[in-house]
Amino acid sequence: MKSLSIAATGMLAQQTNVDVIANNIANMNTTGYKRFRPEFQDLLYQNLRRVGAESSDAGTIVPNGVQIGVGVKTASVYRITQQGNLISTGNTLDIAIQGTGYFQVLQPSGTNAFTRAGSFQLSAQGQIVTVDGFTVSPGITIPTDAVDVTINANGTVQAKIDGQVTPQTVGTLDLVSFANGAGLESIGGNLLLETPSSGAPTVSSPGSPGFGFLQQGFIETSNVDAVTEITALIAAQRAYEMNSKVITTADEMMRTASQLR
Amino acid sequence: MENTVLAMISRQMGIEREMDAIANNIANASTDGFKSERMLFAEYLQDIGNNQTIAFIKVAGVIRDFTDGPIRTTGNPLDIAIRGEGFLKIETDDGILYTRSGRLHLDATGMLVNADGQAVLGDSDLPILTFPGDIAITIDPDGRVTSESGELGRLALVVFEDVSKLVKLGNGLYDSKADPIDPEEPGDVTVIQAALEGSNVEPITEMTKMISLLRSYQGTQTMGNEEHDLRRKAIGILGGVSQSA
Repeated sequence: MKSLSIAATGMLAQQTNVDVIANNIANMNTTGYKRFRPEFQDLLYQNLRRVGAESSDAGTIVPNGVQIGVGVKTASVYRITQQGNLISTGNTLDIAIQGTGYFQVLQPSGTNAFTRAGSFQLSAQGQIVTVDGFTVSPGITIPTDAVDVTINANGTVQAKIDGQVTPQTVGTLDLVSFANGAGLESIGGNLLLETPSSGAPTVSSPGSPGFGFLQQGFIETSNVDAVTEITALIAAQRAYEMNSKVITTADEMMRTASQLR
Repeated sequence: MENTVLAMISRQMGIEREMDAIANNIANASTDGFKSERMLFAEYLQDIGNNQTIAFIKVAGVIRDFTDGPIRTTGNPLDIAIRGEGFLKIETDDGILYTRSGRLHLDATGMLVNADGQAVLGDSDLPILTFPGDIAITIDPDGRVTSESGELGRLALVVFEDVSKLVKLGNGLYDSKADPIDPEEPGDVTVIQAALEGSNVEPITEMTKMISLLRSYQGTQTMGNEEHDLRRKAIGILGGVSQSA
């Protein structure tokens, strides 16, 4: 009886499914969060009777053999890089990316990480940093006597200094893009890392071909859709139940067999 | 005398095989592009003398149901659902294999690949490459892939004369000894972008089949027990001679 182990792989797959859905729902209000989806694949097949084998000396062949599958596995859990909604916050250092691209963040370890969560702050030195205090590339410092900061769609940061008529340009925020953005590795804290499957980052300024624009005073919400997640959760729970029913049935069949007088 | 028990066992083994197939169907009820399967049984006749034959049951083959699964929209531009009995071509280390699962990805070089990173082939068995900076990728019903950089290629959509001859390899891949053919009419196989074809397993059918299988398994068992009682009685009656002596 393979049914027991086959149904067990089904239950494991649905558990992964529920874990992923739970994480999506938990991050519904996380800035810049991209929802995940598990992808399932059928496992190996056992050939009990090979298709195409000769079934007689006359050379007739078996039209369809006997192949029994041994269950299901999780092939990948991948990020859906769909644009989230933009919400107005009115905060001057909240910046949303409208379109493709990631902000580059310098981690304390010296390596670069990437994020779409643009709720930035100022450090004690006046530098633009993330909520965790990591410098946002290329490390723009706002003068301490600035009364207002404007960031335009192309990433140019201008500071209005008290007493001066024209705002002063203090730098341009960079954006990076990847050949395969879904291949980035999530490390938590809204940060992503480059991997061999994402490709090397291409740095450019916002609004250049292939890059999105910036929107000051907005944040990008997560792209989790509550209704989709809840319906997926219901489907996952029912699938889990059905697999457990297979186990009960297989168990009952084995009990029947053991009761043979 | 043993024939009743042997016929019963052949039936129970068949039921166990069928149960395995149902378990695999239910385990893959959320596997995209999965096609449900059931067992095909055949009679196996054996001459037992006195012009009598006894019929055993043997598994003759697996029947795969190739009807389209339900299509659901995902919003992901790299998801495609195939309508009709078409397959995508995948380049693997073991040569070209075929798949129905249309969850495509881009790899680090911008090439169109499947979940395992194997290239999805276009016309003339060439992979389809996107250019850096391509965001809006569109796939039209004929499988033509276009982006801001223009037309990138056309997904190879092939059909088979007899889909039952395909061998399943797992991971949603099929192998074929026969060469695939192009669809006769261009509209026979179409592609829907931003949607996926779910598994065509009907959970209700599988559950009812499973219940009826369990009952026939138990029924066969009862038959075996009856046979056992019958024999014990026969021995009791026939062996009664020695007891009275």
